[in-house]
Amino acid sequence: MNEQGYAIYNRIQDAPKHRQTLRGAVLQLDQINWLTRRAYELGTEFEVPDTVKRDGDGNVETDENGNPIIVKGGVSRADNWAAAIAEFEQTHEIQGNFWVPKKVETTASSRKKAGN
Amino acid sequence: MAFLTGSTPAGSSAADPFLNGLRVEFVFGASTFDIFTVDRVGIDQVSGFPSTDNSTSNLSPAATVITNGTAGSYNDTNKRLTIASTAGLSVGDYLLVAHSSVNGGNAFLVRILSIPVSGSVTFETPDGTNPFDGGGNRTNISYQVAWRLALTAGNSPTVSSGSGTQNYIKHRSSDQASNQAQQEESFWIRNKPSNAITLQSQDAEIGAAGNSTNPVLRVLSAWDNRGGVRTLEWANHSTLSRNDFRWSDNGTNERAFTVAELGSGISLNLTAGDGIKAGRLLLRARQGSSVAVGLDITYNLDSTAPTLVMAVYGG
Repeated sequence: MNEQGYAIYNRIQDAPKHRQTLRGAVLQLDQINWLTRRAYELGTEFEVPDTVKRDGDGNVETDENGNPIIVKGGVSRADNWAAAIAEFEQTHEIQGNFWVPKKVETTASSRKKAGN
Repeated sequence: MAFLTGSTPAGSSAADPFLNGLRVEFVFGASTFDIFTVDRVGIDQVSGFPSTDNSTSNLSPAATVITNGTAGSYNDTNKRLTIASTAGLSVGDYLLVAHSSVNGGNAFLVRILSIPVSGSVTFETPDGTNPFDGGGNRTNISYQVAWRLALTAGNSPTVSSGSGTQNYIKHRSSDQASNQAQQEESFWIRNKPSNAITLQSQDAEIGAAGNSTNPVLRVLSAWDNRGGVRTLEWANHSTLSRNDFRWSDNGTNERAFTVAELGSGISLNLTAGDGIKAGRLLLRARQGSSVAVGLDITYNLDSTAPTLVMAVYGG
């Protein structure tokens, strides 16, 4: 595992193919890395209980001594891509075939405050 | 999401079915690595959703184990893949993995061979290879568990028949925003035909003088993919309690054969002496599988006046 727990790509082509685009539009490298990081940060940790191993017929599987095979549980985690993508889409939009930041509407007062 | 469904070359049609009684695994996952809820997995004999059958509780790993991540790493020295957690996973389970420099960056399935330490696994693809092997250490491997339903073909909820039955395997899952996706594939299962195996030969006693032709064994030759059979083993006849059949090197143990070999013929030896030769042929879909289809065979060897008789019984 990487120390930070999520991938950081150096080139777009280093990302898996399905992460290089979103809804068919091309993502830039920093956008891919942002999504990967946010999916991790918004991810879910969950408890997996110990279970008795069963086959698809529903039979309990046993070891060579006839004892039920126990599948060890513990803590696991999953990234939350849906939430990361939802956040991304609040601030980005598709123009042409690319994801770009949404233009922020500025008002006269905000321009004045900013010294414009 | 887009689903990948595990499949085997056999089973695509009534004419090229999977053999009733062999072990079969259906593997489900998402190539987008974002399943949050496995809503339902089932097998019906009619097409369409929702599935009537619900086999979700028989999945391995449990449907609640959704482990995924983007920071998996591969150590090319000890051949281990390290992921966020192996909690709930066991040997034989599957992962979907992807790395930009492997398999063209596309996701592919690997089967867990061992879990040597918590968080790490050794693995191979369903065809027995390791695409990471020899490529050096890798980081930034994306992964998610995939779920398997391993059952005996013909057992409920699957159905088999003499002419072949079409079974529909259905998977419905959602991501964390409740975006739902579903996929259905179909798979034919058929009972053993009366000509499941054929033996063709003149005499073939081990060490007998003048033998020129060994008997040749063919398995399910009429089915393009031999019903999914991949290994053969000789065992004692279930009622005559002996085995007189040998591979050409005189061994009897489980051997893997290609589809072509099974169809074109495997050379056999028989124990010395004329008379009834008996044995039981075990068919498996994978080396070492706990489930086999057994066929009792008797064969009348008369090397002075060959009158060959063969009988095949399902077992």
